[in-house]
Amino acid sequence: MPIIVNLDVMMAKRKMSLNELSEKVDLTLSNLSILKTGKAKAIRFSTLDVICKVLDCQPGDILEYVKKG
Amino acid sequence: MGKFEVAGCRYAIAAVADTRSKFYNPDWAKRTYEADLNIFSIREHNIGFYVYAMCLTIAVSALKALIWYVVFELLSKLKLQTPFSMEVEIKLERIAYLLLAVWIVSSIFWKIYIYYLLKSTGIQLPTNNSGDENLFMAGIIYIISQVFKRGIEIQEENQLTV
Repeated sequence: MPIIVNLDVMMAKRKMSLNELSEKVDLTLSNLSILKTGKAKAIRFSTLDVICKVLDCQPGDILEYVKKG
Repeated sequence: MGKFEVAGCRYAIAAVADTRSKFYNPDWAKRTYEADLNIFSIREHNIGFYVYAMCLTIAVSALKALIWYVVFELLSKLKLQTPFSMEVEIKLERIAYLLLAVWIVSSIFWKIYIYYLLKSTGIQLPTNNSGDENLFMAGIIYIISQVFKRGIEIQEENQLTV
């Protein structure tokens, strides 16, 4: 998929572990892992909202569009 | 093997064995004559035509037995809490293809056989249109399997929505 999730980059910038983020955004570890590894097919606005709030960033910092081929 | 699968296997073997025993039994050929199927006279006239007719009968029986086996397998795999699974979809599709095969053998091949039988021996067998419902059923089950396929995709999408 041409949409790339840069959650791990933002987490590294904020020096936050997956467990910590999971507690703060109230999402299960497995769901965060799905999002981080790029397996997710969709993301709710409410999830994006809370992740941006916790990581203090913009949605564009987490999601990136890369043109294919 | 589950309970359903064993029952399905038994049913399938019994159905095929029953038809096979009829194949070697001249009395059965006479009885089919009494049931308005002129197979005994075909046997006396030309053994090749008789063998062909019996092969068609056995093929239809074997396919129907296989359908029952797949139905038993499907019932053993089906869980009402989570009905949308790939296994169920594959089995539904298989049933649809098997029903189509039954229709092809029992309707098309049988009609071709009747045509050539009349042409070369002059024996007129009744046209058997009883296989046509198999085509209808195959279509319906194929549509249901495609609905299942879409259901699985939606379920997967839902599971991967964060």
